Amino acid sequence: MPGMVRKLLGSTVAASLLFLTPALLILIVFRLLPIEQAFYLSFTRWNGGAEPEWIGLGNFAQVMRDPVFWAALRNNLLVLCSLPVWVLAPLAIAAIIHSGVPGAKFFRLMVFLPAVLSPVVIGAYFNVLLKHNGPLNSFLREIGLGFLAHQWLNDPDTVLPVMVSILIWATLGIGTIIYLAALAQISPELYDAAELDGASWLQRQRHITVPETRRTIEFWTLFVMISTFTTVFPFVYTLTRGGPGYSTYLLDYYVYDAAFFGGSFGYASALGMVLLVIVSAVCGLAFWMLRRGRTA
Amino acid sequence: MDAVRPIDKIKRWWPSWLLLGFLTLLSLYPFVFVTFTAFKSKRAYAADPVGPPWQPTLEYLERALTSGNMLGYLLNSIIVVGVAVLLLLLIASMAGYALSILKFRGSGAILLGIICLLAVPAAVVMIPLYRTVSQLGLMNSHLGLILTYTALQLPFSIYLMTSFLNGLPREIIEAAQIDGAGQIRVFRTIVMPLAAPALSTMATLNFLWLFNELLFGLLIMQDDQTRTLPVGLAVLQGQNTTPVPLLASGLLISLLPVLAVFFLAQRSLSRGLTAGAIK
Repeated sequence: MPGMVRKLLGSTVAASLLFLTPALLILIVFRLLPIEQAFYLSFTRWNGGAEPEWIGLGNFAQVMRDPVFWAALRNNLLVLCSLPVWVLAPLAIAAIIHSGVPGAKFFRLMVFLPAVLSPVVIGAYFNVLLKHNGPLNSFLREIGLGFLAHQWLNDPDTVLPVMVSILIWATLGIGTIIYLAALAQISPELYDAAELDGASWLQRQRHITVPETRRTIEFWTLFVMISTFTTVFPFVYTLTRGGPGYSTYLLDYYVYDAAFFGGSFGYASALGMVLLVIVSAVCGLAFWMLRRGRTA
Repeated sequence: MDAVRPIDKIKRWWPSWLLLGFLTLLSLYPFVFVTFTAFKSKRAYAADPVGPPWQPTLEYLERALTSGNMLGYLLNSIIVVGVAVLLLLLIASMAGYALSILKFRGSGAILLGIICLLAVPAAVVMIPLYRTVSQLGLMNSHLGLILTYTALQLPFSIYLMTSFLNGLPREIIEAAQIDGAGQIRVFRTIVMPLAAPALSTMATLNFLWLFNELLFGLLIMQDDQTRTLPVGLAVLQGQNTTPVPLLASGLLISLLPVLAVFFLAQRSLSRGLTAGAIK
């Protein structure tokens, strides 16, 4: 037996398979088969209990007529409009920290800190902070700015921007750290030379920082774009539960909502499939635009 | 340059300081607020939600730990996340070894496939995954969530491991292989020690992500006894009757482990987050 094992391990392919088996097994059962299953379930009516019932394209037809789906899609696209802030704010912060500000190490740590907070903690914290009679409003009233007090999470007109601000804040730390790592690779002589030539701070950023960190900017842009479609669920769940009305329904929250609050697991699977198509399309478009921009 | 007058320093840097100082406040306030509020009574919070607790009380912290079951949630989180992190270390480094050092025809394709899984939204797989776990009879069990979490973080962990191992000098490994050491020995005694930095990064990131994960915890742990900390907190927060000091106590308890990791594992954290992002 040991001889056989040794012989088997002698061949690279067999050894590789041995080392790969646990990973492949878990990935197949918990990641790959579910995708195939999701595809199947999206063509069924299923309440989560009994056997799913095949209904063909029924769910997809319903998605197209579903006002909540369109509201969620619209909200997702509105969130996407904030992308420039999402991409440039951490770059600006990283550039400031990198420019040799005294206390850079401390500020770097502080800016990064929120990145380790769980979305649940962030959501619950802001939910309390922004309540009508919560700390923010009572603070504003106390310092005589009571007219700024606002129904932050209950006003359908402003709730989405409020939520986007929270999301941007929550990812600011990671973005800044990633940009800082990219900035560290730029030779300081470039900046010195530009400064000697009389380039202002802003000019140096535009002509040195942005082109030199281009790959990182692209990476972060794609990362944020995908995240807005796929990882906002816990924030929505703890901040607003999609409300008021449907004003903060986002697609990935709606999938959960349709399945686990609505009990329509088949329909929710179809929503998930539509989401997959949308994410792929958005990413594909972004890739294409980035590539075109590079060759131009 | 060495004789910069303080006044010049202030003149030059005050706008940066102002902005970074404001961001620092935003970062620190959640901790201040949660700590202040956890020690307040319900009435004191209603009267003054901002200030420090002038008459600190342990009432709500105690309630959170006992009847609020935060201690139970914390224990569940530690078991589930702890085992998943260890499993990920083992399984991902084995896979990384196969894909990066052994390499065979098709290993590149397998790696690409694994990376593609990273882009599949959780919303797509959550319903079938829920079905799989319940068909395996693993609902409301630690094992069910451990396996789900392992699968969730495996693509990233394998990617991290493979790219780290690809950067190692091949001579060391080849020398050992020529000496006739078996693959398992090369893996255990040579590759693993060399990979220590990657392993610590992987463990830190996986811990933080999984310790903070809500969606799959919510799906699989529907029984109060097996809930993890984020799930318990989200449920507590969802009840309109929850007093704010009680919620703050729960938040405070959940912040402490993450904060400890943040300060202990600073370096491996930023190393991991920036891997692959630059270039």
